[in-house]
Amino acid sequence: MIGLLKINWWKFLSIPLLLYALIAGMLIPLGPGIVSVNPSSVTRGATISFDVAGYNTHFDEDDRSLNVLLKNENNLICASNVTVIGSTLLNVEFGIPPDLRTVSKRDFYNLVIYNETDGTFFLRNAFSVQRHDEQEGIGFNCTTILKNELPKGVVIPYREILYESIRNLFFHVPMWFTMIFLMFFAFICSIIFLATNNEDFDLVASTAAAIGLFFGLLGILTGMVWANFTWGAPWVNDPKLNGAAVGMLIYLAYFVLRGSLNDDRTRARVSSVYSVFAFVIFIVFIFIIPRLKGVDSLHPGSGGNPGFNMYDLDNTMRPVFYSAVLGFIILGMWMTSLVARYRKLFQLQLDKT
Amino acid sequence: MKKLIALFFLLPAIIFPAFSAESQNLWTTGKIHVVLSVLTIILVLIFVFLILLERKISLLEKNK
Repeated sequence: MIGLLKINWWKFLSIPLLLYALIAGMLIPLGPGIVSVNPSSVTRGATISFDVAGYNTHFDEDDRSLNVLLKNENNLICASNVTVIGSTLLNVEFGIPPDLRTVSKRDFYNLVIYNETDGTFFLRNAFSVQRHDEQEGIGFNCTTILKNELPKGVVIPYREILYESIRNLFFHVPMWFTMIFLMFFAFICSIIFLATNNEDFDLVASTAAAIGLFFGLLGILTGMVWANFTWGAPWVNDPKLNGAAVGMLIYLAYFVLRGSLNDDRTRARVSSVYSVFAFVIFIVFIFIIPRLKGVDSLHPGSGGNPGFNMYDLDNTMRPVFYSAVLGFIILGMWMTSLVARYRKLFQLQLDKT
Repeated sequence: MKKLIALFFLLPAIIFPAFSAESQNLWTTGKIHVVLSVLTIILVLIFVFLILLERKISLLEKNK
């Protein structure tokens, strides 16, 4: 086993993979989006002019194809006048018809902007139209056909709340992938130890669990920083956070158990059996409990998520994300092999003296 | 170790030209500082790991 870990070439794969993830993950620009609309409310029948602040947009380059609309399920209202102030700033004028069909006292509209370079992008519920009378209205459509196009060039999708911090997907999520992979590796090594009684496997298993815990710590810390700026607090009561924390405590108990047994063979056997069960419980906490019916999580893949889900991991992000995952897993295995070899040498030295 | 340190110092040179020209309000609305903090945490902890391993191996070499 230790001999296998000395084979070197695969370790260096992590260098190009991580360099690619770092450079591409930081250099690919964020797609165009709308940051804010000010002011954002108007009564029926009024004409209103307001400023639209964009992010990474190219309003001034493409003012011929520029098209600004207000849209909801019933109505589509075209801007009566659009003035380009800068590449990220627009002044828009809307004449709201007095006989506009309204559903409630305050109807929300998405602000949709299209130009050739930036494609179609919108701000959800950017604008509201209020009604003060109960007059029945008619559905209102302007004649423009609403195009639905992606921005030109390679961009990372723009998401409200997340903005540039969407790039953390390349650095925070691989920590958990690496932890799970290393715990799985420890689980396999423990099973092999129980089957063969070769103590090297127990040594590798405990090392992999330790490095896995290190990556879990990295995942928790990076997650806390990210959560602080997107969810408003470093620790929210989310089943995935608590599940990951309990999972890490289970593995901390594994090291407490190892430390409390003095006899080498007993320690190896007892802790291997514990490791097998710990992995199963860990999987329950990480994968099964957050997916139970009725459990709501802020994390992607569950209901009520303000950011993105796995379906939004688009084709630009996918290769960067997967190479980061693979790179960090190989880095984790590299670290495991270094520590395991160190511990083997340490054991040999102890046996000599 | 040396390669990692070099990479760490090159990081700002790689990152900043990509953003500063495009959008001035990036640090306030763009939340790029979150990404940089996350990267810093990862790098610092990996360096701590390397330093601890380095010291352990040095002790092993001394006892030979």
